[in-house]
Amino acid sequence: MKRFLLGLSSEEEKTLLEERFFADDAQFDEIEILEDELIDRYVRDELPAEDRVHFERRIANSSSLRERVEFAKLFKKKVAAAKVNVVEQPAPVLVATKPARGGWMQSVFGTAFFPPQVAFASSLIILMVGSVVLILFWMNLRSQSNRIFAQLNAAEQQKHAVEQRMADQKSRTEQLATDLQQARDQQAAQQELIDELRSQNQNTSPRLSTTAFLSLIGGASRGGGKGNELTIGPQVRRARLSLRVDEGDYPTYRVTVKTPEGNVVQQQQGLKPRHNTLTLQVPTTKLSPGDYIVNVEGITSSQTVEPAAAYSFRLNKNPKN
Amino acid sequence: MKPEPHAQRDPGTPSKRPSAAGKYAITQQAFDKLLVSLASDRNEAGAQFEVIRTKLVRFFEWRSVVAPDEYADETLDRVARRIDEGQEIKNLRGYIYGVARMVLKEEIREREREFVPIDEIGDRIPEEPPAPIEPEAREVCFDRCLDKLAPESRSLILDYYQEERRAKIELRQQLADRLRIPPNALRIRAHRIRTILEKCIINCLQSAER
Repeated sequence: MKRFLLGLSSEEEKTLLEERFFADDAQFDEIEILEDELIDRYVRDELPAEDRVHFERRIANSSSLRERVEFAKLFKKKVAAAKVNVVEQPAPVLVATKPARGGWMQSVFGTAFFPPQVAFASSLIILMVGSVVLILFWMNLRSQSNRIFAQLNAAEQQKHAVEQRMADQKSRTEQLATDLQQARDQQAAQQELIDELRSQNQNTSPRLSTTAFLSLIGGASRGGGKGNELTIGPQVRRARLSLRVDEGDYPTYRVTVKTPEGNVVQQQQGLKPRHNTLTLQVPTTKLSPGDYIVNVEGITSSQTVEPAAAYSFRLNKNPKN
Repeated sequence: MKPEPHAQRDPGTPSKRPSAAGKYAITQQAFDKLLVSLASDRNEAGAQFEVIRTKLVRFFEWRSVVAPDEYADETLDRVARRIDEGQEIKNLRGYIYGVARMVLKEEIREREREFVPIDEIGDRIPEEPPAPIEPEAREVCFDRCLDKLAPESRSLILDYYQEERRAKIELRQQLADRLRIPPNALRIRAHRIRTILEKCIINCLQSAER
């Protein structure tokens, strides 16, 4: 509204305000009162400099506004001269007469003269009645005071209960916030791990097997390489040898891998065939490029060891993969 | 609300001023119909008329129209004519606002047509500014109008507009308490008395000029 009165409103704002004050008298009163206040502040030099400039522009274009400003100046002068009479407004006088001769008794009982005995008796009665009234009043006050005290106590208890509930609620909220934070931290750590694994996967792709396979059957061999040869890359950590045996010959077998010179590379006992095949894993760290002999021995139920089969293979290492 | 005795236009009679276009002069009959459409009670209608006219004057004034009173009357004349012609108006206040906007547009067009570039002004004699009002005359009118106010209104307005900021707030609260009305009602009451005083002074100054 102030913008409107300073002539700073847009056309839309003006239209909206005009529609409102044409429909609503209270709205119109409000604008007029605000304009009065604006004029008064202008006259008292209380308007900010920018507002003053805008307002003076309006004054220059409106004779009616000029007239109202003149009125406000004169009004200011007259009001200053007028005595403030709000606080000095005389209170309505209920008894304005001077106490007559005879004092209050005469004013109460009229102008008739009473003998001293009558006056004394009357005073006594008044005193007694007054005492009874005072006692009743005091009792009533005491009862009210007790009631108020009880209400205050109840209110105090309620307040404590509410405070306690609020404290519990706050504590629960804090706990929830902590849990939430922990869950977020865990999630972030997991996400970090996932990202790291993804990154590793991207770096190692295409994926290469860390196990080389070689099948040896009845003295001959079939493997990942040529014939009885097994070629492994640097990523291969173990060679898995599959050895064909006849089912039911022995309950368990002992397999020994050794060099032609007779050095034992690996030996494993108690191997049981599965689908006529014994499986043996040899760590590649134990294998150097060269020829190897694999002896398979059957162990009878009486723990006697008997030669069952022999195989040979050649191991080659490829430094690239 | 009783029509303000110092109003510039008596709500009981139509405007004597010819319309801006000069084609239509409002009749008593049209004017009566306008009042009836404002309220069935004649006094109430007069009060309503006064409020609407004040709003129109302020509308034109806030839109920087030079003679807002004339354009307010022109608006009311046009509305009265439409009612006299039998036009059915459901929202009278909204309709009056619409007519006022049309009158304003015409006024703006007229103003633009009359605009003369500065180098074409030549020896044209500028319109004489209104004669300044003697400060004494204004003060005499002020005192006279203040005296015309009811004592309680006079006391209220002088107390309400006391200047000291802090004391002003307290005084207004005391005033509201004394009158047993909310502070905002006091604000409106003070404004109404101020408006009456302003109008009285304008009338007083005009009659002094004559």
